[in-house]
Amino acid sequence: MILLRRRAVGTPPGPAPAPTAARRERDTPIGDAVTQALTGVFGSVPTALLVFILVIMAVTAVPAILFSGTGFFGTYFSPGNYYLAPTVHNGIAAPHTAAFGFLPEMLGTLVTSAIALALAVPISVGGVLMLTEWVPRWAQGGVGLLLELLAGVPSVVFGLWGVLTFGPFMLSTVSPALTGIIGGFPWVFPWLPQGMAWALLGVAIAAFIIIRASVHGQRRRRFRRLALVFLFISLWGAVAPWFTGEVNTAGGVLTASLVLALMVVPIIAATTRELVRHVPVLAKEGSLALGMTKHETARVVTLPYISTGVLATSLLGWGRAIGETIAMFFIIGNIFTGIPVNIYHSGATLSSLIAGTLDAVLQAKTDVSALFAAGLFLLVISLLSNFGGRLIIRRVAGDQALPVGRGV
Amino acid sequence: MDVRDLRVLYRESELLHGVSYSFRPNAVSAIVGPTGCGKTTLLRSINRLHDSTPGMRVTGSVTIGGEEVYGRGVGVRGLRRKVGMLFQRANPFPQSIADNVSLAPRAHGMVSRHQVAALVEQHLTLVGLWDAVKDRLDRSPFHLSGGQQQLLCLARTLALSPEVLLLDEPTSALDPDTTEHIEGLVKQLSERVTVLIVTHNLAQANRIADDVLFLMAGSVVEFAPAQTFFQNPADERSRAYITGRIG
Repeated sequence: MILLRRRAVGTPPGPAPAPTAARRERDTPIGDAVTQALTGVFGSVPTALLVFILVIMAVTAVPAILFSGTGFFGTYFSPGNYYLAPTVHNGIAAPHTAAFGFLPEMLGTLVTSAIALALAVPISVGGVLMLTEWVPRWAQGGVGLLLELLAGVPSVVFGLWGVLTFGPFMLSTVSPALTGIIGGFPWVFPWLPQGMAWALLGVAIAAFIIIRASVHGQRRRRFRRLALVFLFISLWGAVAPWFTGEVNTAGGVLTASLVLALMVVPIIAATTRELVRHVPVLAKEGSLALGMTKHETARVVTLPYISTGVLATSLLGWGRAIGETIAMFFIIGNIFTGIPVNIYHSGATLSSLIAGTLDAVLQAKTDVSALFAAGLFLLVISLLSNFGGRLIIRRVAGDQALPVGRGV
Repeated sequence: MDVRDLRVLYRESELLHGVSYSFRPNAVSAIVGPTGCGKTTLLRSINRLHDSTPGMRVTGSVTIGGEEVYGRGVGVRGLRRKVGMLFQRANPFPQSIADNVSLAPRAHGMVSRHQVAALVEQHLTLVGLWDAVKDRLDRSPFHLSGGQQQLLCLARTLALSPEVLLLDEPTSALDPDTTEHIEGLVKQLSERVTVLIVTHNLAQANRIADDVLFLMAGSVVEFAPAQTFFQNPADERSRAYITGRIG
């Protein structure tokens, strides 16, 4: 603010005679100063609020953090027994045998939102491309309207539908089929233990980054294909075991993820639709005029043009998925049984934990403090994802890569 | 290449009122005329680029080498393979420089994987871009200058070995040096390819055209060899246009 104001009040450019103090006063019209002050105040309100919330949350969370220490990454959460003598740890008193391990909830939040995004992004982008390229123009408005309506469905309705209709359907049909199919192929990579698969995944991702930075020319394509194969194998080895095993509830992690995907699709699709609309016609005609088909044009021209934007909107959607509370609370519930054994199991997310527990623990200050700590973690993840997203977009759009709407 | 009674309608308005003429093969024909006279519309109806614009209707006939462009069962894909086009502004693919050249031939199944590198080098050399980009073939083309981007688009078009080349004011956004370079290329290419060039620039038409088609308000005013058109035009309106009284 101070910097801004100084710059604005400085002498105007041009060969004006050296202004006296009185003249300088007149050089800055009073309206400008007022506008600047007002916009300054209003502009800083959101930032100030964010900082304020962060500080309050951090301060409130301190007792629980002191009480648990690294126990936050434990697998067991319990508000404790209020009728017995409090447990004291590191000078902080908490209800008897209280434990604040949030690891299952952290994982629940990350996994549900990751599965939701992994489904929602291709569905949105594919759907939008189909809509704009192949659906006749008169029908596009209708489908677009439906999409916007989907975005307007309150999350509590998604939650009700998920728990009463979709969940039972998952339990009776989809989940058994899925676990049957994936569990039926144990021979795909039997030689690859899950732990090794994770390590391999790390290697594959590192390989991608190194290839991107150092290998050029025709060799790059070949190397990238190799790295892609590794990525697929390790991803399958690491993730597939979670998709096998018994199905024990209607409101499992997978059900929650699918409902979450449904909630995120309209957000991503609406933005993607705008992005596709803004791809220059000239760029597409360049491809069509070479006899490329619509599908090839979409792949070669449209997708690269919108990729950065899709990344940005995906991160936005991710933010929504992480924070989504009421539908998750309905569906996945609030089960403190440690880390789910597979994605058909019930579990909890940070938000469902907070929503489900707060009411019961209001009298115990340290329990409330623990919930604030969970909330702080949630806030920090979404802030990090936001900043990370911005960073990626700047990197991608900056140097090597193909810009959004630039160049043509 | 023959165009017979070509009419193009957009919704209710007729943009071209029955244009008929024959282009000489392996020659450069310039299409000139005032803004909005239908030059680009005419050009785009030859490779059926109007197909994808809702509300555009084309009647009449265009034949290339005796084959009807608007015939039943004619594949637009094959047609556009034979009829290349260059636009007013460079529109390279948001892909690497090498891919810009090789994507379309690969899509048409014209090259095997082993021939791609040679194809890229051959066509980038043909347009005189090879030395400038050979070290950054896997980079984005958007860092090239406007003229280089347009040359890349030309290379991309030529990589399909077209029989006809449609140029829609290809140099209107370029500097004089690049313009001269592209004009030279076009002249050289016309030994193998039939070139149609839309241009606002009469001096350019004079420099490179063998024939000139003068359009006004969607109708042909005059179609004559360039020398005749510029030195001794038959129509009074042509004379007015050349001398700058209308334009």
